[in-house]
Amino acid sequence: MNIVVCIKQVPDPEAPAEMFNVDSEAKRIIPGRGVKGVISPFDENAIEAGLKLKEQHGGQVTTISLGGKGTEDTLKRSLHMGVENAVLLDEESLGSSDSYGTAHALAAGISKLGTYDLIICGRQAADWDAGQVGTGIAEVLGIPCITLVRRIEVVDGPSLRMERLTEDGYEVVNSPMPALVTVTNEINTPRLTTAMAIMAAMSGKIPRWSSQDIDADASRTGAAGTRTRLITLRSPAIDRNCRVVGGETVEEAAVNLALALREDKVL
Amino acid sequence: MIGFSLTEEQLALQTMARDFAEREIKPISLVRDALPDPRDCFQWDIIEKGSQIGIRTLTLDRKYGGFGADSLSTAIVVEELCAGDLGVGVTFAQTLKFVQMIQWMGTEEQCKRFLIPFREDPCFLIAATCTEPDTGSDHMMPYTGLDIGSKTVAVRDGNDWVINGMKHFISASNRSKLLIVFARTDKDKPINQGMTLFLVPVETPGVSFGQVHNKAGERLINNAEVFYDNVRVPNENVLGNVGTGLMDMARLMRSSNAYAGASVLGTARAAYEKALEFAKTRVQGGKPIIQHEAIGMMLAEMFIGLEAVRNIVWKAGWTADNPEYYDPKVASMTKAFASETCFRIVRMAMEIHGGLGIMKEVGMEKLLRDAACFLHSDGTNQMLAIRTGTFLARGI
Repeated sequence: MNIVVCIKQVPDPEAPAEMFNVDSEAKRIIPGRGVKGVISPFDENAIEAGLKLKEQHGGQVTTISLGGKGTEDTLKRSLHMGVENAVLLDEESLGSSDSYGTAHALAAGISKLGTYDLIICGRQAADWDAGQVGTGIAEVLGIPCITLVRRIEVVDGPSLRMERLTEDGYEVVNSPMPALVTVTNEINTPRLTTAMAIMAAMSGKIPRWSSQDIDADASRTGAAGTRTRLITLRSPAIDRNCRVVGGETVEEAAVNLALALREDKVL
Repeated sequence: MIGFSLTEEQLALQTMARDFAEREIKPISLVRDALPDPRDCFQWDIIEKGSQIGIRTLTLDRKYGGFGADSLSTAIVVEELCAGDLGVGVTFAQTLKFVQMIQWMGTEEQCKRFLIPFREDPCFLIAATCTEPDTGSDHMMPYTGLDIGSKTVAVRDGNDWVINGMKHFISASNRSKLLIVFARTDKDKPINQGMTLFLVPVETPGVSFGQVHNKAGERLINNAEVFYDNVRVPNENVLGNVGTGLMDMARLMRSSNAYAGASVLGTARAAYEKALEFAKTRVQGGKPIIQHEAIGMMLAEMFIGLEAVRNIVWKAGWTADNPEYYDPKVASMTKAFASETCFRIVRMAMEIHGGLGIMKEVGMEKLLRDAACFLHSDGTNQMLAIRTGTFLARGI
């Protein structure tokens, strides 16, 4: 199987909120010094899903990401997990964009990679949580898209059998290949990096593809391709109000807590 | 020029070890430490998991299928592992340095005979047996009288050597598959001429283990007694040269001191990080205690102590592989400086926790017990200082 995994570098979502500044004027979020760029956590699940399928059915896994120079570190981490190839789509050349433009750029990059059986994305990136890029890529490439997948199997055909999360459980979905799947964190626990994979990655170089390299449509990528208009960006004002809920017994306190939460429309 | 930036490879190994420590080592640390029987504190599962990601074979040469990490990179990894748990980290560190030792001193035939099975078996650990009830740090003394040193003897018999004696306090010996035995081969010569190293597989008839010592700290690695009762090994199992065992061990000290310093550094960093987090969230007198100058100053002192130790550990690790820059004074004092500084850091971290610091569930008292182990381990600090003093006196 030829599997492509789309990954994104995001500011470490585990970093405390006070390490970020919001520039409302420029409508930008500025991570503070010391906030590292990491693979968006759902994308690590996507890599793990790809590696597991490769181990079961053979083939290779390629990661692809749109970003700046720092994104190379993110792609390297995927190599250290056992991915064979990684490609960087140069954001300097392609320009920053929203989900629409990013989907077009990634779709062009994937097309340049050649044939593929499966594209895997995380369900959403941990910075903006938009969850639009995966479906966008599938739309551009004209392939089936199955979102919120918690289990993937390759069955006879070959085709895919998946469990897809719904609000009250899951549904089983079958799909031909090629297809695009977005995965949730329920699907697996991403593996650790290994010394062997680190050693293997040292000999390779990550290609950096420009807009021309992938024959990107300039009207659909970068600033020109942006379809989102950001009106305002600000830190949410948080009012803290501490209320102690008691009771004669622990049980009574628990009941009172539940009632208070319902009163406040939390439950 | 001096550069302090790590290479891409070192950063990747550091991240790998840190993730492994966070995900696999930390969750078992306090639980295993609390078990009353010291044998139960050791866990094979963690060794196998470390093997799966290549930690156990990190120093194994690439020609034998390992990563071939240098001593600085290994020290960086050891710090991360020991930040998860000192005992687990030292279990790996011991094997990592003895693999280096075999590669440095062993013949090609010995490397193939012992290190290829080592590579293949995820539970293959290696221990060196040196310390005895009556001898340990005196191997480092600037004194070479016949009345000191190992009482374990090896006597030549045809093509074989027959080893008799007893060792104790030996790290991971009861869990290892290969023992490096430090034995006296000539009673009429001082220890710098009459000691020899032997490679002894644990299944060799006559090898047995006694009690597993019940230690205050570093409990996730076992330390045990080892008995050699007419243990017969061929001459091909001599590691290095007959009679030069002490000098060969000195070669090992170059990297060993860096790893020992890195080990206790990991413990101190774990204590510091817990104390820093606690100080930011614990409110007393209307504000987080880190905003009280007394606490802020303690944390500042702890921070720079860690930086100082890390710098000396990295230098010791680097010079271990760059003999033209090697300074035996730095090697000797690295462990002593690291263990004294780190013990103080952990004690301050415990004080910052106030009454909680002595509660077992918080884990600070465990870190203090761990840090205490390195005040004597790998040579007492006083003995290392004496040794360094003799270097200074001789103008070395």
